[in-house]
Amino acid sequence: MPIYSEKVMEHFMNPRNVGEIENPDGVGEIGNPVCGDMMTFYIKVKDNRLEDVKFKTFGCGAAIAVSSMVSEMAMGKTLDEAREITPKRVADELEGLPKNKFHCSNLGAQALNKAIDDYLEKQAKGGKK
Amino acid sequence: MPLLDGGVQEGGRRAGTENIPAIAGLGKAAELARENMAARVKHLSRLRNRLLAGLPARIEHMVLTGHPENRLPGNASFCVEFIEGEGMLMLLNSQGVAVTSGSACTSRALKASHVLLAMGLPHALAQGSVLFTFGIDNSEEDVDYVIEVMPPIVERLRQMSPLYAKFSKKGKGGA
Repeated sequence: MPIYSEKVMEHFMNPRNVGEIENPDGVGEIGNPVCGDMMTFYIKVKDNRLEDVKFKTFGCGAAIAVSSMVSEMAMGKTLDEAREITPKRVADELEGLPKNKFHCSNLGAQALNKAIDDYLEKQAKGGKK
Repeated sequence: MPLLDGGVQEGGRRAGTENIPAIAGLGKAAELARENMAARVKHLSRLRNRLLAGLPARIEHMVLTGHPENRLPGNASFCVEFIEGEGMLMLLNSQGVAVTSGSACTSRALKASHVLLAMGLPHALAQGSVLFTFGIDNSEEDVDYVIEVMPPIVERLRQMSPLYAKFSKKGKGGA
């Protein structure tokens, strides 16, 4: 087991915003079982803000902590602000990630971004709202 | 090419002096192990079989890897579907249960065990590997404790798992 920061352990033991959103405005899926980490982010958008963010994650302790942290950082943010959540910022908020686990943190921000992309695509196609 | 590094004797090829106490100690340890081997094998096999019988009965979609009988007396290895090994390891650790996931010699590689993959397990299933090994100091109470604490841990991680969500919805998929 790698040595995780207290913050990573805290988010792993008590992950925030786990679950799915019914009729989400956007969904972002990333990863595959070969690399060992898979994340799905669900978002609800209201007035250009992330009204709700939830996730489901298959992966190591870091992947779960990262997902939890990303959901917390993104909650209530505007879409543009949420875009600024980078793997580096997530890792910093978690008080660091083991080097060989850094790829997990890339996934969290990427999955959120994909969910936002999904929302914007649906909007462009004349979806709801 | 020197075999051992150290002093300059033997032309620097085999430096060092034999560690007589360690050699004698190892000999004694082997002697004791041999004397008690039958009893140890019996004890460890009993613990292993108790876990092999008890754990998959309480946890769905959990498979034994390797042969049910022709295996080391104190070794029980499983793959738990829809979740990843490290999370199980960390939560079991928080309950005082020490296990490993994948193979120890590649534990830094983060990849699924090449042995499990070579046995034909799909990647997602191989990622959920968990290995229990018993020692002479373990008891049946220890096994029962594991059988009690592990199911909620698996359930907790499955509730977070997108693979399990897909499986529950479709009734198939996942690994």
